[in-house]
Amino acid sequence: MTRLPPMLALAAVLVGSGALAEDRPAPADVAQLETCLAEQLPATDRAVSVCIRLLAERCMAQPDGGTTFGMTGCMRGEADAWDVLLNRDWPRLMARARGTDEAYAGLGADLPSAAKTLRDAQRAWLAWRDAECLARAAEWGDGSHRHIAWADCWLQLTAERTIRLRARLAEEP
Amino acid sequence: MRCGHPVRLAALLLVLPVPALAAPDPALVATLKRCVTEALPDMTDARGCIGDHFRLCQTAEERQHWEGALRCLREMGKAWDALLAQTWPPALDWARGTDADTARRSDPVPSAEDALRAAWPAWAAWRDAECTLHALSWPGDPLMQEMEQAVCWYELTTNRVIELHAMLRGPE
Repeated sequence: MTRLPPMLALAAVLVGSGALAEDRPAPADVAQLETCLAEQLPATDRAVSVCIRLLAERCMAQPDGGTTFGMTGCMRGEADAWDVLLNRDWPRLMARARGTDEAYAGLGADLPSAAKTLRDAQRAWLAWRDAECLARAAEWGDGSHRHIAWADCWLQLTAERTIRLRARLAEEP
Repeated sequence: MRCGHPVRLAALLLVLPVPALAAPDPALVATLKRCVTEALPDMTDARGCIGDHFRLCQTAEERQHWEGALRCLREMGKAWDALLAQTWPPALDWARGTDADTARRSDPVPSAEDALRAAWPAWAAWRDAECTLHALSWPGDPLMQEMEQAVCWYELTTNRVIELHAMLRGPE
């Protein structure tokens, strides 16, 4: 059995299964997540427990939102909104990392580049998220719940990453 | 002390003075495993194992200074990392069992084993890069760099162990 193609095929199907989601997250949805973060941070754990699934739960309460296809689309839709926030924060994170590099350069310290390390960490995190969510989906074998497990994982990891990086922006000098 | 942020561990070890540690005590690793196993499926109780055993590591005198915390972060972190390594064979068995079970019932679907084999090193690469990044947030303060790196590494490793044990236990 050739395994990679079906894995990629499932990922492609799941990534594209925006049942109730628009192609792009609605600005109002992104704004709602922003508001939630503004209210909860710097309490990171609180933000994780309160803000994640805010949009998905509302979406899943809509007609057809409770089907496998609907739930998957709702969670994927919210994950896309978190992704918008992550992309929005990225330039500031890189600017902060470059500032760190400049500070180290001033100290004459021979340390790894913070900017390069940030990029490396993000690439490694992306690779891990992709593989981890396929592993969690595979736990359900060929059952339809694998689609939900994958979308739930994708939403949770994407949102947590966004929240924790946002928290860093708030706490670091 | 801030918690939760990271640089590549290998690179960090080249620039930060990290004392060599002996291999973790097998009895300690077994104790941590028993704690997690008995606490699951309650994730809150399982995460309690992290703090409970960390507190046991520190002497009263060590609780008064950073160096004591750092010693325990490294010592306990090594024990949790050993437990993480011990989780690989049963995780692989679980993935192969899942694949075998699925193959009996359906057309090919994504392989749990392939996904696990990809996720395992990807997570470790992320942990090391992330924790190096956290350490770099303290220019000119080597002790805080070590603390930040050690706290990050400890937090991510302990949480990963508990998540994997919960996964191997299966849905309740």
